Amino acid sequence: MNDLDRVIHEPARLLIVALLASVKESDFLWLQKESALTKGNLSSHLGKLEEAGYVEVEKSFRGKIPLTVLRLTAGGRTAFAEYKRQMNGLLGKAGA
Amino acid sequence: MTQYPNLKEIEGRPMRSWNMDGLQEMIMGILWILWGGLWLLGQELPKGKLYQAYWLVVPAMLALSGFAGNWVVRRLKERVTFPRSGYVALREPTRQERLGTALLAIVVAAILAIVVLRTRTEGVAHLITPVVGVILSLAFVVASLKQRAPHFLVLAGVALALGIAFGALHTGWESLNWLFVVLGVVAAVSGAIRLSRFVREHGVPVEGA
Repeated sequence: MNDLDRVIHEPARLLIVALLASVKESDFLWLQKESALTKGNLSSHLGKLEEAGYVEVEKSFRGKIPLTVLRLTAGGRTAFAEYKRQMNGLLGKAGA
Repeated sequence: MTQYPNLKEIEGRPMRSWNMDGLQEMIMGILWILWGGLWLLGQELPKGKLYQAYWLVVPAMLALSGFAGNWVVRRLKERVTFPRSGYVALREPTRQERLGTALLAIVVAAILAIVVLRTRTEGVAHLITPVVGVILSLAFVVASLKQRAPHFLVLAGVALALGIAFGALHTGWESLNWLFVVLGVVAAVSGAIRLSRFVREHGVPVEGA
């Protein structure tokens, strides 16, 4: 259990990573609606994921509207795959 | 928040979110109306130069209509959907998924080829509508299960019922065209209803993303 990636293991961040892993990229609004997290909470978790190198944040403008596009980095995808592998292993042991 | 997310359920969300606005369904329905309608119209034309020109242009146009449909869906999403529910780009299919789709297409094509080769010409014409009805129905069932979208089951039922009903008329290839026209109308209306509900329920946020 100690080997689990603590950055991903937190439930809200796991939700964010799982959502981003299932798409190519999304904007902040889509992620906020799907995760049902508040703006502040989502921003804070995204900051931690960005710091860990798991999420890439691209800020731009669509016309005059600011647009924040988010995507999982290659490292983020690998870390998420590893996390799932470890969790499956743990659940397998618990079920045995 | 202490509850752990259901990862399996999350995997299906992007596709569900992509189809929530009914746009894909509506454009697909319009394309089917065009396919069936233009084919029916062509058969009614008197033989001559117009007939030849029609059959030279229309099949090529219909073959390209799928790409045009995708382009229209993307443009409409940018204007209607993304400002309301957020922008999302679906994941590219993995090599395994591409192989699976190609394999499925080959199996379906092989089954259709066997049906065509083993049946006499008039037999094929009478069988094609129910067979296409069953294939479309199965495609809707798979889409419904994968995206947890129960309304696709209604379209699956409609496709199956129409395939059997038009097939029973024994009007040959004309039945297939009518199947596309009527199923297209059902899909376009269902998509339009979903789109209007989506627009009503999702306002454009005052602030940008």
